[in-house]
Amino acid sequence: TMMASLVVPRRWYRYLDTLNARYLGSLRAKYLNSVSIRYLDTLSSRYTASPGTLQRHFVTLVPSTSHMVADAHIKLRQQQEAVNQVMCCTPSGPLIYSRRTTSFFNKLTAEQLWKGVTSVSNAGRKQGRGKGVGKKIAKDLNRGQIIGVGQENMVWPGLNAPVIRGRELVQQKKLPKDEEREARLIKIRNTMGSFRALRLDPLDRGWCGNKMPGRSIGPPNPIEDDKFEGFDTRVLELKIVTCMTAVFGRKRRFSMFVVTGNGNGLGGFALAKATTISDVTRKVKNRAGQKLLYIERYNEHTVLHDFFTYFGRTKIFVKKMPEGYGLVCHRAIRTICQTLGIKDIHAKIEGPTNVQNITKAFFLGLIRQKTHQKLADEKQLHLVEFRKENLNFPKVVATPQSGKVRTQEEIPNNEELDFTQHIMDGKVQLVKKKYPAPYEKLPSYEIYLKKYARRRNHQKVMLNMLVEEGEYRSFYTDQYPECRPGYSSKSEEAEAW
Amino acid sequence: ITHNKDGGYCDTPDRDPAPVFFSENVQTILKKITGTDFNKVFRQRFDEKKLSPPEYKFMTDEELKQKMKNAERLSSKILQMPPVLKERQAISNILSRDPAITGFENCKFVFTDITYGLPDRKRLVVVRDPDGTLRQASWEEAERMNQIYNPRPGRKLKPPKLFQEEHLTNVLERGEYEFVLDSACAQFEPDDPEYLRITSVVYESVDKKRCYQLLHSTRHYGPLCFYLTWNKKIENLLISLLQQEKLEACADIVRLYQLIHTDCKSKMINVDPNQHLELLKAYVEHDSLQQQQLQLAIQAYQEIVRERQQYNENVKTAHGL
Repeated sequence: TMMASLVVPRRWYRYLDTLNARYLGSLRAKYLNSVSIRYLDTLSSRYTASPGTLQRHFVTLVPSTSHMVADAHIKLRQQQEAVNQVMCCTPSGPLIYSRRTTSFFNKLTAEQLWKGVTSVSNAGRKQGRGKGVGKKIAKDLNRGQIIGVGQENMVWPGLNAPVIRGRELVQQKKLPKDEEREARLIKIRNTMGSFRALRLDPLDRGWCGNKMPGRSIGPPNPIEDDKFEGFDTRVLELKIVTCMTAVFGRKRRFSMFVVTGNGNGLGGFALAKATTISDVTRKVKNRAGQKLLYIERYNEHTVLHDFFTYFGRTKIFVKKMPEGYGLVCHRAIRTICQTLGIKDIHAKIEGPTNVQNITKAFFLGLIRQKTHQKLADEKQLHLVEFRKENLNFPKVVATPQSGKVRTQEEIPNNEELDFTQHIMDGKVQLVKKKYPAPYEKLPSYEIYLKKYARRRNHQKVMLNMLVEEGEYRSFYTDQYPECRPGYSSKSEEAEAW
Repeated sequence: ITHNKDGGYCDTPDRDPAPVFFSENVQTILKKITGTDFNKVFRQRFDEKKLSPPEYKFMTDEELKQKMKNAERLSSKILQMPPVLKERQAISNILSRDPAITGFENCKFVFTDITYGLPDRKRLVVVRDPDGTLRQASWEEAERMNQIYNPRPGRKLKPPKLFQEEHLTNVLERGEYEFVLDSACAQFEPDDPEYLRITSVVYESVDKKRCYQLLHSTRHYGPLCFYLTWNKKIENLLISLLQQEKLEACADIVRLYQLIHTDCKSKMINVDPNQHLELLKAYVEHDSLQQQQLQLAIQAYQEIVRERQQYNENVKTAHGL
């Protein structure tokens, strides 16, 4: 069935477009019914120009499926046809009823079209519109399509079929139309979201919500034989930095600071700047991969010993911790330790917590660590380890390589023999005194303790009871069945039934 | 697994193992064969205690020696052997009979002397029965009272289900000998018939599976060897020691046998104490109950030694030495 189309002056089109789409049909119908028919009547007398003029001044409206509009248009069409018939007779009458064969639709590139639909004006951008959630993204219409396959289902040898199959030349052939192709493409396009999805999997999140810091950006790009196996880079900082230039004005760039590591002692950090996220990611992880350091670990889970380090005004006190302690430190240090393969550490930062300075200070401290052998050689004494869980058995961890161990007489009086002091270079970390909680002095606390003492051991008792008796019971349980946990009179009645 | 009903030492029913066990010669032998592997003695026990970071010290040779001496003293304390005693006899000491107060109450009354500082064994615990007799409490009653008033760590009022037969066999099948023996030491007194039953079950199981190494360097190795030697079941132990080529240990076991069973025939033969294999052979000839197996084992050992010597000589000649 042919759809009746309406020719309407351009000014009117703009007005009609502003009307609410829901009411558009009915309003258009009403409006057109009353006004345009009369107006169109006058058209024939007014305009004698070529079809070009008509194109400029008139727009073709393809109506909606509203029945009211359809009715109106059919009436209008009948009248138009009447007018047309009249027009055809005259030698130089304008063509009122014309459809467009080309428009902006097929004169602009896909990028320009999408930009028109999704973009925000320059002024709007300056005010921060079109960023983050709510920013419309272009749908890639090429998805689901293969080169050589289109609306016409044809076999093109060389394009979507081989030129020679066996011994025969393949011919151009038209296959029956693929009915479902359109439906499939539409389905794919419907699944593509029109807004940028900012919902990250919780496991992919860093320590900054949906933003980059803390997130992984993959291993550095391989270089010939070096595949960077086992490497993972984590973003520590992502900033937008600007500078004023003479040519462009405000020049905006991304600055990314990352740390990379293979979880086995190798690692490095780097900073890079670029105009796009993808560029800066690539630049920075490759740069970090170029600046690798090897750091010594103790039993592959912690640092060799406590140390103090600083860079700028950022000071860090790092403590060696036993297995299972975890990474109790600033989130930046935690990320660095995870990439390097340190699993247990305690680090206290004093002063500013500038991420770059923290990283630099921490790395400095790590590479300045002294191995046990080096310490023993330095001091010309045995280095002995005492562990509480091994009942403080003296385990000799390193002896001087030269074999010569100093005696008590050979050691001068003022020499620092204490291990911690020697390592920290005489620095002592301030340990703040732990005061009792303010409620502990109140008399009500004594009362609470007395009341709590009654039930303080109940958990252990109940656990033992389950082990020995198999259930929670007392000396009443045998005589009175209701003295059992989970007993209810309803269950009794049910049993009686 | 069968256990002796009268407690493990019923081979010679009325003979008390305690004087033999505590004699100097026996003690030195047992301590020697137990061994002191510091890695095992001072290993980390999983007792749910929070780990702390290790401490480091710079030490001279003398300081290190001093610390090692301390460690050795501590290890000898850890390796102190639980005593081997005869099964205790039931107490039947009636202090007074008062039939006049029969039926005064329908339950017994237990009186415990809770003086501070008394050892458990010396503490007086008496019971007044409903029929009026005042008697000294039985071993079980006394132990229960002691545990209530002065609880010992690791000891429970009611013995854990671990020590019941089915559960015990289950645990022993998994090879948890040291755990069972440690639990038994914590729960029972050394002359408790229950303790003797459990230990004999464990020792039999160890002997059957030949897992002596699991108990080596622990405090239970000495009593284990003593039990096997007392009951003349040292064949498997000797064979496994031979296979590990520990001749001195074999000789020590034979000497232990001679000390325990003073009427054995091999004692008469004067063998040079340094010739361990000769001592072992003397035992095999005269006193062993499974001569063939032991002789086979000795032969196998000698062959291995011979072949090794031959191989070393071949290597030397090949290198032109």
